[in-house]
Amino acid sequence: MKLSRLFLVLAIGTGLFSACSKDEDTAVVIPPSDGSQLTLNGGGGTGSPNTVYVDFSSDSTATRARASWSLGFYSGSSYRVILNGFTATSAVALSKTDISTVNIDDTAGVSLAIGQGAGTLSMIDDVFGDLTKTVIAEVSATASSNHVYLVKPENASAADPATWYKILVTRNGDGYTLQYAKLKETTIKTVNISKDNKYNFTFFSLDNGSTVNVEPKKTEWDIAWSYAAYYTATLPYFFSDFVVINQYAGVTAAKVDSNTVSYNNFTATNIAAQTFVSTRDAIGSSWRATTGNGIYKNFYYIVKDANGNYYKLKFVSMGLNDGGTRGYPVIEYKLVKSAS
Amino acid sequence: MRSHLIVLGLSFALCNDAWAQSVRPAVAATVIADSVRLHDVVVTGQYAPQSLKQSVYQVRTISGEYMKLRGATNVLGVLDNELGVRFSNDATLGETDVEIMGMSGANVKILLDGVPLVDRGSTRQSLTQIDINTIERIEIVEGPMSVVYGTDALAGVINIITKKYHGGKQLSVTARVQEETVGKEYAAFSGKGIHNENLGIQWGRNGVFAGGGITRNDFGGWSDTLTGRRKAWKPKDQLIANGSFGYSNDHLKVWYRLDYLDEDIISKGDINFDNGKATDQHYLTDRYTHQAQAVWQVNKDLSVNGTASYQQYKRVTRTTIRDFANNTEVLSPDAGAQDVSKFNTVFFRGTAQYTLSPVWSFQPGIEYRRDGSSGERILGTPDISDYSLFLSAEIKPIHWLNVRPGVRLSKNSVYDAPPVIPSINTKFALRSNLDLRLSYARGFRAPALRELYFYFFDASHSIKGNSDLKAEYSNSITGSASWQAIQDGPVRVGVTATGFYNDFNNRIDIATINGSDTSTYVNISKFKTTGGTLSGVLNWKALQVNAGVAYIGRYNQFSDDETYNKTYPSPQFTWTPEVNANITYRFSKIGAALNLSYKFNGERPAYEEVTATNAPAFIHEVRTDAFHQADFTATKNITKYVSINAGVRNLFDNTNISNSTLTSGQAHTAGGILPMWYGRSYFAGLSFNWNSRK
Repeated sequence: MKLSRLFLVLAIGTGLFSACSKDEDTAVVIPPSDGSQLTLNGGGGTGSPNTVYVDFSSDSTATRARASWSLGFYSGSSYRVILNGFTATSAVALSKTDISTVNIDDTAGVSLAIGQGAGTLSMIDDVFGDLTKTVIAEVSATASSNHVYLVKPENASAADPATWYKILVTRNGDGYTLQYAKLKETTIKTVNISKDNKYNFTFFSLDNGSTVNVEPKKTEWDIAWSYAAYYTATLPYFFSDFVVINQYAGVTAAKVDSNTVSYNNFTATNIAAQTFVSTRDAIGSSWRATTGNGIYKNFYYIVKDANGNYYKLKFVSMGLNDGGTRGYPVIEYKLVKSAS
Repeated sequence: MRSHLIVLGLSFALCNDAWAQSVRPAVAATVIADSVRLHDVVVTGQYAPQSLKQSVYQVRTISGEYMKLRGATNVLGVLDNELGVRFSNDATLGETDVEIMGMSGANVKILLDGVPLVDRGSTRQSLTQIDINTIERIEIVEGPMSVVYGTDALAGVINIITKKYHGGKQLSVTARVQEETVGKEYAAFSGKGIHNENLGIQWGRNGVFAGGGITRNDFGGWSDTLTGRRKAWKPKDQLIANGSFGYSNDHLKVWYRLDYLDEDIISKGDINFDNGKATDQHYLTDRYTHQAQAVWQVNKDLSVNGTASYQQYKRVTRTTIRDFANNTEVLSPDAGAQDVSKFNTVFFRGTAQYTLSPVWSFQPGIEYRRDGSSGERILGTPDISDYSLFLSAEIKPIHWLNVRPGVRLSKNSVYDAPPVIPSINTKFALRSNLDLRLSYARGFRAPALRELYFYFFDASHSIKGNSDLKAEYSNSITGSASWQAIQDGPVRVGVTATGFYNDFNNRIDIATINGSDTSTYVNISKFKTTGGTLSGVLNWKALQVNAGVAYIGRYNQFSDDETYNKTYPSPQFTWTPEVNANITYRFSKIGAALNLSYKFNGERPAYEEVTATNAPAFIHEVRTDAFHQADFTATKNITKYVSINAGVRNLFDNTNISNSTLTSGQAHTAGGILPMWYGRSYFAGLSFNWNSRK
């Protein structure tokens, strides 16, 4: 072969190597939003540090450190105590009713490890928010009938019971009395907690020994976005990007498939056809997958607030392949029908 | 293209001899008739290059000629026809792992001319990151080869032998262009489809030799049913280059070789029309594999080999958010969105081969290996050093018997290395055309850096490595009989039967220790594989037919699980059949050949634990569908220097295969379908081969 032909082949070969293989994107037109958009300040990441309460009617959010509280004392007519379900808090009842007799020996054989396949649903409150199914039984008017509970906050160690708390709740007139201490502590702290009818719960931090401002007034929030206790199959599982509704104030929500009626076309006339759900997980995790797809763009929600206003709500981005940032979800909503 | 690559591309690569412990000129390129007579020369695990028939190991070879006949553009494109070899594709990462005889990639050792290639985890990406144009042949040895090759060589070894200099005066230039569709998707020379180009130069004179090559492999990805920017199979662009030089004379051969890879796997996200943005990811891999080897024939009874290697492997994850409304692109701030993982390995192996008498030969050896790593989800910047001594003897007390006992002693700086790894291989020449091989070997797999130093804590993961891990080990028994039934005449026939039983212990798995909320790696599980193959080769004039069957059993852990084996009894092994066939017909007068390769991968059963709400957990049989795969290729020489090929891949038009798993509410149950292939595709190529050899 002649050398010139060889060079020709080489030249062609080199040309092919440098060929550009990136197919460019064509221009797209993005329709503007016609509702209100809010970016929720979750604090970033999959286990975002904040819970964000959203009030549609005032276009406002309230951001709270989700681990800032341990227990919530119900302000309604019943005497109920919830665990912080926005953290991996677990608890178990002891047979003892005298908190002063409970010490580290009572943790023998007790595991409060939870998550990653560990633990049982009996260690957390009802994942649907039913207040009659909390870990801590209804506080009895008979003080001696109330049992001592072991509580392991999210930041405590499952392997070291000395980091756990023992608690005992009794009634105090129209309110509660909480006695608590860490398991190796000899001094039992006592605090009285009263009910405030403007709020769903009064929140208390065992670590700080004080009540905490967490939820806005019960008529001033509709949904909350947070890392939260939920379940898969028979096991407790903690979900990132979980959305609860303000069920205790009467908020309900319905999930709509946009193949039935699109978000833009949804009007007040479509409300009657929806099935509204009043459990904590009415929105829950059903709007997104945390692996792969991210937000299910074919679903949106109709939220009825405590005053009877109907809003349509869609999730714009959550940070999974949707141009958003994880832990800073963006939502969009629009009033569909005002309370008359 | 980067500047240092241009330099590399213009430099020259070696065409050295085999990994070869011998400097004697190697046998000329094998011809197809040798596949019956077993004259093919192999080097893996040998004291000196020798024929398949003489080897104490049962070795399978894939010749360069076969790669050409298949129009293969990567190593997987020829391994797919092998009995006992299966692939699993990770659609998210755009990577493929290999499985041999029922064991996954972590148990398979990938060697490049005897040098172990680094991978970042258990997936053997390295296999897809080697330029097929530089390969002379591939040798596969099933069963443990841990005495010689150390960790990971439990299921087997895949040794990739590069093209070598065969002495004399030589100048050769090769070039190749091949275009292929991906299913129905194709665009000429870039973008959709597969685009391969290669250029190689080899030169040798008076014992001095050098060579170089550069290859581009672009895969445009495949959309499947997706309609947006996102693709079911991720596009992948590879630029691979190698360069080498060396010197050889009658007693000594030394060479240096560098293999370079630049890979970009592109994961584009769909446009989110609610915010006008899309999240895109690139997985960028850089690899430098340096190796220097020396073979010194001290005298007729003694030879010494040295192999040194330094490898750098860097993988960058880059995530960007593109805003289509104002056409900007920013880096994503998310955790894990930007990552640089680095791995580097220093490796040295030295062996001596000493023939004491016609009966006794010995091979003592030493090996040193140091692995370092850093990156997200790796705690700190750990490194591990491994020191090994090994010794084997080849004993031929009588002409029909060959016994090779061996032992390896190891010491590791971090984990508790298995102190003694023994093996014994035997070969009985029962008749001149019938060989029986029996072996027992212990294999081991050292805990990977990731298993020792993993660190991943977020909302739904608490996983930590465990530096107290022990090595996994296996006890393996293998046997094979190889019968060259008809060696002369127009029809030649060879038959080989193999059987194996492997018992793996101390397998490393993720588990949560009681009372802890952190998962870690522990030596907990067991695994077993067993099975056999029967294969034959037939040559008749211009026709060659290879065909075989395999039946491979994989251990079902639930059979020994006390929670379940009473209520849900299940068998100890789940079995999968395989059939392969390879038919080649040559039209020697017109310089053409046709090849049909076929493989049937039988239905694969497995058992899974299903948990359900309000019901006790139970054991469920999962079946992964069987599938047939076949390729057809035609090759023809156009001129003395130019040949063309064309063919159809995936004649059966496989895409996804289904899997009957039940969704147990587990967070990561993929379930349903497994991506197997991207539909029937067509290819055509042109190759140029100019050779001046005196």
